[in-house]
This record gives sequence, structure tokens and C-alpha cells, in this order.
Amino acid sequence: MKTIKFIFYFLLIWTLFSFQSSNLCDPKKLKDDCKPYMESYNYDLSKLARFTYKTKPQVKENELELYYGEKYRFVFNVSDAPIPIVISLYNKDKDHKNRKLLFTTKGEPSDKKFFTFEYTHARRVFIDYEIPADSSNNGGLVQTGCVMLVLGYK
Amino acid sequence: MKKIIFSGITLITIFLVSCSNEEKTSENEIQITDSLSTQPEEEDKIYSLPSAEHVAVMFKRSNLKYISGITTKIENKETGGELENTLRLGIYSADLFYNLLNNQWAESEKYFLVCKNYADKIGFNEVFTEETLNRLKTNIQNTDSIIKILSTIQYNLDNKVQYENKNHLIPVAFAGAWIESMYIAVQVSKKENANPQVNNMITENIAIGNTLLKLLNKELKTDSKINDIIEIIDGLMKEFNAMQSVQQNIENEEGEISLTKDELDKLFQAIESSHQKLLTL
Repeated sequence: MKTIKFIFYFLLIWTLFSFQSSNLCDPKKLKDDCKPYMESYNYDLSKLARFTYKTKPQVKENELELYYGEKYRFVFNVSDAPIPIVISLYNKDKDHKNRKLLFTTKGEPSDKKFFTFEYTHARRVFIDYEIPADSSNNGGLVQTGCVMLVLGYK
Repeated sequence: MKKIIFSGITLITIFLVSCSNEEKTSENEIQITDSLSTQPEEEDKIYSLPSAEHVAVMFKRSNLKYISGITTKIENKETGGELENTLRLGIYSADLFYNLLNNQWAESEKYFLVCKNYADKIGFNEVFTEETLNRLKTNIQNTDSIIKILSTIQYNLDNKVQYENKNHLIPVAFAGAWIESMYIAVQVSKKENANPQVNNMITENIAIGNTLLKLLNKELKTDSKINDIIEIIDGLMKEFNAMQSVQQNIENEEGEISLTKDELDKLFQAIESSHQKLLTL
């Protein structure tokens, strides 16, 4: 009886773990889900940014090289960000005081999972992922998440 | 007792189903069956480069003409490990793209097979498939279709790299493709007696090297052999960044860098020298 109980609990933990590890931040799934938003744009690159929610807000920055004059479409998939994040694009990095905001998801509905933005005239953009603090008390469990960027060009 | 046995069987069934429930892929996409080798790292600062395919497309759009025999001679080297083979894959992929975008089937096929050879060596067997080769052959006269197929190759490569957490290979492959693309453009420009559009595209591309260096330096901790590539790219970028026209342009990031004839000649020499050094790795 004890052995059966042990096997039962072992399988329960194993099954739950396998579901969790296979579903969170799967790059292929996150990218594939962006495909409908690419429309006629050619795939250029993709970048997965992983993060852990902390007790304080944090910013992760993605510096992206572009060709001036080329038509780009940025597709962001935030399906695997359990607490909504803010995505903002700037012409300079976060150390520059007078940088120009090009696009932001600030003020968008919190249940929106995909964002698109088109841009042409830049050689470089800086994408800031503003990750809010996790104020919930999940019994000590640390929450992780990620955001997928897929870039297309014409 | 029966309840426990029943629950156990149910859990086993759910587990087995979850394991075998791979997403169905279209015929153009690879199936990823390998498991993650290491835990992916979180990064505070991320750098993104254009794809090698996009570099080739940009040169094509700058009216880069086709000249036979200027690409790197095909060699199936058996020396070196993952890093060297990734670098070679990058170099030969640029040659493949140059030939494909200029509708040269016989050469494209040769370069496709050498790319497949090096992709197989680093475990990316599913990227350069016979089916992709056939699709390229069918569409060789249609540049738009070729670009779409190249995008799919790039997509599949990125899938594999991301899934296996081999992100350090991205700047290595890019370094090979980037130098090779610029080397081809330099050869064409020299034979054409300076095509301003091609020269502008070389200058635009060389500026990407500063971000490439940041990315390579970041990945140095993963593989110390990257240092050999860093030294070559660093030498090239020091030469470029020291040019007076570049210095003057630094404050105006969005403006076009216009190099003098003398600076352009120096840059061409530096690209040729870096290309030669990369081939010896």
C-alpha cells in the first residue's frame, strides 16, 4: 500500500512538472503564434527575452541593428508574461536622457497578447521591456516569464 | 485502493500523451525533438543583428552584380569543432545566398551541399534538407520566392539555436556571413570601378560590426575560442572607427557615412585581410 502511494505521488509530481516545463516559454510556439501578424513581411530575426519577476520593477533592453530605409514590422508576443509588461521602443539607449519614444504598449489592455509596430527610418532601435514588481505572495514561489520579438522586413 | 490504481493509470496516460503531443509542423518546418541541453540564461542587455539572409538581400538591392569565381572556394574541412564549423557555415551561407539571389543554380547547389555538410556537423541536420534544395531549384528564376525560402531556412535555424540554447553560435555564424558578404561586394566594386550604391551598402554594413563585437564579447564566457574571431573583427572595426568621416558622423547617428576614396580603399584592404584571416580559423 505504501509503495502504491509513493508511486502515485511520484507520478503526480512528475506529471505536473512535465506540463510546466514543456509549456512555458517555448520559443518555437511563441514564434509560430506570431506568424499571422507577419503578413507579407519576410522573417529577419527573433529574440526571446526571459525574465524573473522580482520585488522591484526592472528594465531589460534589446539593442537592435536595422538598415536605414528598410520597412520593418516588429511583432511582440507576451503570452508567456504572467504579469503584463510594458514594451517601449526608443531611438537611444536607457542611459540617454533626451531619447525619443517611438512606440509603447503602455495603456494597452492588459489581456492583449500581441503587439505590432512598423518602422522605417532608423539604423538602430532600443527596445525596453519594463517588468513590473511581483507584489503577490505566491507562497514563496518565484514567477518567471518571457517576451518574444519577431522582426520582419519587406 | 482501486481509486489509487485508477488515478495512477490516468496520470501515466496524461504524462505519455503530454510527451508525445508534439505540434504538427508544416512540410517546410523542421521538427525539434532534442531536449534542452542547458538551462537558458536571463540577459539584462540583449543585442540583435540582422540575419545573414537579410545582409545578402540588402546587397542585392544595392545592384550588386554577379561575378563568377569570387566566392570562397569550397572545401570540406574536417578540422576544428563546433565553433569553426559554425563559422564556415556562415561563410558558405553568404556564398549560397549570393548565387541564389543571382539565379545561379549550378553554383547554388554546390554551396547548398557544403552548407548542409557544416550544418550536419554542428547537429543542425534538419535545416538544409533535400526538400528545401528542390524548392530552391524550382524557384531559382523567381527572386521573391527565393527570399521567402531563405527566410524559412533562417527561421528554422533560429528555432534550432533557441531550442538548444546555442545562442553563442549566432554571432559566430553571422561574423562569417557578414565578412564574406562584404568581401564579395568589395570584389565586385573593385571590378566595376566603384559602384556608389554598393560602396554605400558596404559602409552601412561595416557599422554593424560594433554591435557584433559587443555580442561576441558577451558570448566569450561560453567559448574562449571566440576570442580568435573577436581579434579579427576588432582589428577591422578599429580601422573603420578611426576614419575621419566616421568620427565626424558619430554625433549624427542617423546620417549616412560618406567615406573618402582613400578611406574606402583602406576599408577594402581591411575587409580583404579580415576575410583571409577568418578563412584560416
